[in-house]
Amino acid sequence: MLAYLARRLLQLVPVLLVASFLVFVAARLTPQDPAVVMAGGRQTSTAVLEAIRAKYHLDESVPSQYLRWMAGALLGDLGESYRLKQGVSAMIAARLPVSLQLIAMSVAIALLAAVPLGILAALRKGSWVDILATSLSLAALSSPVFLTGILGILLFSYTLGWLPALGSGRNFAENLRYLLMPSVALALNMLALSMRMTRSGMIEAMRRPYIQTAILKGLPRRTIVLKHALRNALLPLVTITGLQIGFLLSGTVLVEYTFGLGGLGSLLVNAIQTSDYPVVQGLTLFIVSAFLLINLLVDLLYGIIDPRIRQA
Amino acid sequence: MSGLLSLRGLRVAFAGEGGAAMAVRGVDLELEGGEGLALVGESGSGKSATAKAILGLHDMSSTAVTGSVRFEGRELLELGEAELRSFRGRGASMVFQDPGTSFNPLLRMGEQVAEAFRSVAGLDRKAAREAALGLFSRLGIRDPVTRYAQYPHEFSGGMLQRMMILLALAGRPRLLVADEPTTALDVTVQAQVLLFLEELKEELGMAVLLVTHDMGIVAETSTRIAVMYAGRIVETGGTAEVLGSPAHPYTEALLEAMPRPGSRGTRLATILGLPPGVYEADSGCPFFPRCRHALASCMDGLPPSVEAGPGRKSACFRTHSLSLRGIA
Repeated sequence: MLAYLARRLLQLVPVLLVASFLVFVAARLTPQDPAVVMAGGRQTSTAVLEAIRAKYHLDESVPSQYLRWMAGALLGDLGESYRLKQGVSAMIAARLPVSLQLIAMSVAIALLAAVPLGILAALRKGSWVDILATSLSLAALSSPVFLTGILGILLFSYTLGWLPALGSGRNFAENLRYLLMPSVALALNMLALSMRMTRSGMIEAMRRPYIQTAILKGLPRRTIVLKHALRNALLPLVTITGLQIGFLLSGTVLVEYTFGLGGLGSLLVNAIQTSDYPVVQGLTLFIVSAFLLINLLVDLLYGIIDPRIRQA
Repeated sequence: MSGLLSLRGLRVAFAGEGGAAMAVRGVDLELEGGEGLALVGESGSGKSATAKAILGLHDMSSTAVTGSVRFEGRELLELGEAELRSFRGRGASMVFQDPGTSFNPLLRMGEQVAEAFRSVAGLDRKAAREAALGLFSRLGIRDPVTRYAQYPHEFSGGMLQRMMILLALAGRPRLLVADEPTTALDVTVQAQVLLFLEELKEELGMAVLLVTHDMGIVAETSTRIAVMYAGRIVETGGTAEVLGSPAHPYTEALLEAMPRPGSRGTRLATILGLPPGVYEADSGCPFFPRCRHALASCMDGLPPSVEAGPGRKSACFRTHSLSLRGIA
């Protein structure tokens, strides 16, 4: 297992190298001149621009700039924002807790609702429970977060006054309240997808011969469903949840705007809009790394669930 | 001997896209205690659907099972889920076609075997573990404690099927339904598993309903045979008599299509055409289009099952006027 883990971590190195290079080059290909951005976008003398270029090593060749950036990145230094003159790593660190809590809460909400609902829908295939769950999931899949978010704000903040409409709290506990509505808005989509995955996985699993064996053993239905079928149905759900979490690292941006939250998503979009390249490339590299790690985690989880994969 | 199992007018229909798929179209079958009966027919003839109906294993939300299945005088089709649960494994049990998929791939083998002893035989956790380890030893598995913690993919197909048979017998049932138990196995292993099944049948005195498409293994395992075609039983009788001189043209054709010693180098006979589809309504004898003995009158109505000798029946209009070739 440890050897496997080491091998998998080593495999990440070339992927990260290629990804970082692509990220870096993509940022260089945008038409904005970084020096002009740093000068505030105003008309400036050539001498000032030259000075800025020299200070930030923008006069060097692209490969040498890349190496300089990567050397810093390996030590945790992702450079400095052109606009805010802050370290990119510090900016990410400041925004990360809200993003992580938002993602964790929405994944928890989605799975806690999706798995039981999916099981119920699968076992009562074609019943009103199934039809209701399946059609509601279609509705949830097709409503954008800014719509459900604003409807939520109108109902729970404006009319009922139960939950704060905007912003985040000062700590984790406060955020449980502040992030509840954004998490639910964010979770709806995932919930719908996971519910459908659980449903189809369960229907498929319940058809397998080993379920007939379990029935023959005279096991109670509960045991058959939870012990024999569910584990087999969970494998695809693990994959999709991993992908969703990776996507959410930056995909929370609409929710962040709707609820006035400062997470990674809005940081990235703001940086792109203001041509703040160090933030764009630093954050992108961070998200790519996180995505790869999540994928690795998913693969390890697969091995825990399925002995055939563990021993392969 | 008193009748153990009695099927009367058994019908199984699956809800399909083209309406009801009639897999079983009225099966009558008797099985005595301790008897070995082979249910034979080609793929799609309704053998497995019949077998599953006996154990109540069809998904009732999409399947209609009608007629009568009596086991020791008790009507099984009227049993509730709780009664069925206590019947399965104790009254009758079943072994499936592919041992590779009969076990849950994600659970340890020992746990899956012990689970049966806990549930069917009512043993506690410790006794069930002992019983499972005993089962491992009986199968000649070396180092049973280690193997107990292994997963299905770490066992051979033949071993898995033997385990499945023992596991199905944990509750000492009077009937074991074996649905193509050797089809998924290597030829060399097939014989071993059949022999194992035969030994257990003798030891426990249970009846065995062997579902198979392989005429070759019928002669070795079963005293009686029932030939199924397109959802119906077309011929029943003692194995030796039916194989020696079949009464139904379909049985004759099946026997001809069997590879035999001495037939090497000659073209293997086949049955031309296809059986009627599961959606097709009855019109005349279902075997009519493929039958070489057919007369125009065979298109009128379904042939009734008639006496064709002592303990034999055949559903052919011409049962008494034909003399068919069997295998010696």
